Amino acid sequence: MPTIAVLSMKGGVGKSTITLGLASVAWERGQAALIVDLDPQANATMGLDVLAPDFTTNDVLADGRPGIAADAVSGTGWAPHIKVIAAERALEHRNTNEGRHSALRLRTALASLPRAYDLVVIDCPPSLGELTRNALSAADLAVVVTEPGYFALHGAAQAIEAVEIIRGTTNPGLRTAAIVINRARPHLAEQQVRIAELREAYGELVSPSVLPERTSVPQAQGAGIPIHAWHSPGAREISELFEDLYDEVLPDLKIGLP
Amino acid sequence: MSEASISNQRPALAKAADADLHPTTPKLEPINDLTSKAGSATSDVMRAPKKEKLVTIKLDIPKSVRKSLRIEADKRGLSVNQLINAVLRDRTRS
Repeated sequence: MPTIAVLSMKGGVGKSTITLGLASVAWERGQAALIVDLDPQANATMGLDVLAPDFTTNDVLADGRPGIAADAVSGTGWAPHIKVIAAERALEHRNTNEGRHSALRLRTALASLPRAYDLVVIDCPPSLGELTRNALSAADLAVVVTEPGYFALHGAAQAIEAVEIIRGTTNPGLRTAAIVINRARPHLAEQQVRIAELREAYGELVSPSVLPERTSVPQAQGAGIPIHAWHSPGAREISELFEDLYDEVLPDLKIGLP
Repeated sequence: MSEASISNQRPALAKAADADLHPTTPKLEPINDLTSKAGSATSDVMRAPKKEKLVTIKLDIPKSVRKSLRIEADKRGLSVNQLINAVLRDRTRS
């Protein structure tokens, strides 16, 4: 089923937050999701409450055999239908070109594994290196994350350029599904200007689901639970926005559709 | 074909050889450079590499480490002996 790469060239904009948010919607709806953590910081892995996984994406990419990723799927603390291929610090070793077909290792290793899930989400590192190339080469859709700030918007532009390059080389089927604005404080005039710039440049590609900064997000991540399971007004607001984003990016997975 | 049946037909996934190596650790040099102590001075380059006397050491390691060594050595096109030499030389800076 659909494989989504969540990326940005700037760090700290909330890639793992969006990854976990999409996973949280799948958790809420009882849909089977596999999170592939390709960020050596392993924040998505931590947010999914994973304890000492046997194998990680580092092992999968180092091996690279067709279908080998199935051996690295771990359970999470969230629910049995939410799985992960965890990351670890050593994954940084794989962020360099390691020979022929280096960018296709993840796609080869995943093979038919995505078919076993309603959704596969790949959390990318904040760089244009080999890990991001692997993620984009394995994905059907790219979700670009940005903050409404000058540097972050440049990072988003670079991410979209990266998607175009991969589409022209290793993955012709790839397309950008949405640009998501995260950590917004729309009452700030500077941010209003940046959001307007983004909409002018990318039009409808910019998701209408603008995610405000809410303390419930890091609280739920720290507790290792889905944002949908965190009971606060802020968490409910964010959860609804994640559901809107989920339905926008994955219209075929809407409840009630065949 | 199911994932399970694919999984049954191939050797299982193993930990990457560098899984315990911090990413900032310098990478191993090419084995050709590691088998010789010849320097970059002109006189050294023109001479054949100096042959060192080899000694044998006995080492007890877990089977899992030996397996990882074999996989890594195979990946690099080396023998296990050459790989261990390279790692030890790299770590001891000799």
